[in-house]
Amino acid sequence: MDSRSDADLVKAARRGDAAAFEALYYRHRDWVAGLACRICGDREAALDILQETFAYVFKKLPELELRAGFRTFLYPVIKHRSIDRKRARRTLPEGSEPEAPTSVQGAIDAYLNQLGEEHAEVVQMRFADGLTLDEIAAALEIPLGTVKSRLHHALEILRRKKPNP
Amino acid sequence: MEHLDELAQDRVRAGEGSPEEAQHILECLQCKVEVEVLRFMANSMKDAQAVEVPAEVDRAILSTIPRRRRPAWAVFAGSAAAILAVAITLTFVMPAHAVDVVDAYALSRKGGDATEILRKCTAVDSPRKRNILGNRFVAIDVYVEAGERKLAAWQVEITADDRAAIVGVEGGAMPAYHDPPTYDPKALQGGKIVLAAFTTGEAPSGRVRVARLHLMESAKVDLDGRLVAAAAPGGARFDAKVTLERTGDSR
Repeated sequence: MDSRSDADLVKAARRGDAAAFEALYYRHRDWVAGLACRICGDREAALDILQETFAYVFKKLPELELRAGFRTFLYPVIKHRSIDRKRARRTLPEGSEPEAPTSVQGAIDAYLNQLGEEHAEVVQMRFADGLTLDEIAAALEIPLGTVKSRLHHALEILRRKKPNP
Repeated sequence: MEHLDELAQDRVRAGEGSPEEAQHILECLQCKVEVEVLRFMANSMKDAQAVEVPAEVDRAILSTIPRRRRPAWAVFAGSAAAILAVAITLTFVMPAHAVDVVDAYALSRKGGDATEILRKCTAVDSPRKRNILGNRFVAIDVYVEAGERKLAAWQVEITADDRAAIVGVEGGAMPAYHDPPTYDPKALQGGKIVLAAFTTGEAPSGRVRVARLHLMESAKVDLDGRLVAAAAPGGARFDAKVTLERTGDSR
């Protein structure tokens, strides 16, 4: 495993170091595919978005300088592409039903639906993507205080939903 | 006791909490449960969005990168650097588990810093996080049966079956081992953990409660405790039995 930071890998990849690009790819591949799948709801489409995202990164490399985390840079790219895919597949062909959720997944979906889009997005970025509050603020281009407020509200709701011991 | 608020509990869950916040979680069962609920949510969300990427997708993406040919001198320079790196590694870096707590104890007695050895000998390779359905918490006391010998250093490996995840570690009963032992934080949420501690002060003898583990389990689990190493004051190694005792259900 390459121990260089994302910023160092980007710099090296910009100089034509293919191993650095590969290291960046393997470091973030699963997260990119997972995030895309979460937003667009289709695993096959998520793999396409994975390819498009890294093609975009490769294209941007000559001018790319990380001012925040690599995932903060990637987040809006993946989000916009995934939303486009989701819109495109709103008219599902007959017989292609989405997978039935498990009981745990059903409970999580119900919780996220209750939160509303903005709060659910912050919770998912924090829990599923493992981003820090600063990274979430940078990726969504909102103040840190807003991120804290949304997360706090979402966690309060989670606490209220939990059965009493 | 004043409890941590939701954001502080989440910071601890994410490993970003202050030492005071982390300590509070060790002492407050209610906050510990809240943190475990957050952890369970986070793990479930992560698992739910896991997508297996086929090798052909990897190949398709990585084949688009133009690869520069390295000049001949760079190949030789690279080889020389690699040999040097291996030599340095073999000389100065000990592999994990080539050392144990008795080595850390010996180093500490000589006035050295044993932190790195403790970190190495308690590291758990590729820990697998478990999502346990159910919120039954139990505490397990870990004993080392030292008999008449004094227990100056000990290292124990504990594994739980698939129905449980280890979620917390506390210290033991005697003053020498009252603080939590060293363990790999990555082992939390998994089913295997290595604990180690030593004392250069007064070492206890007899049946010594060296630590307490907290587990989240979906059913009553079987645990296995194995002694990796134990030593008396001065560093003489001895064999001892490890026993694990369930203290009760803290559901």
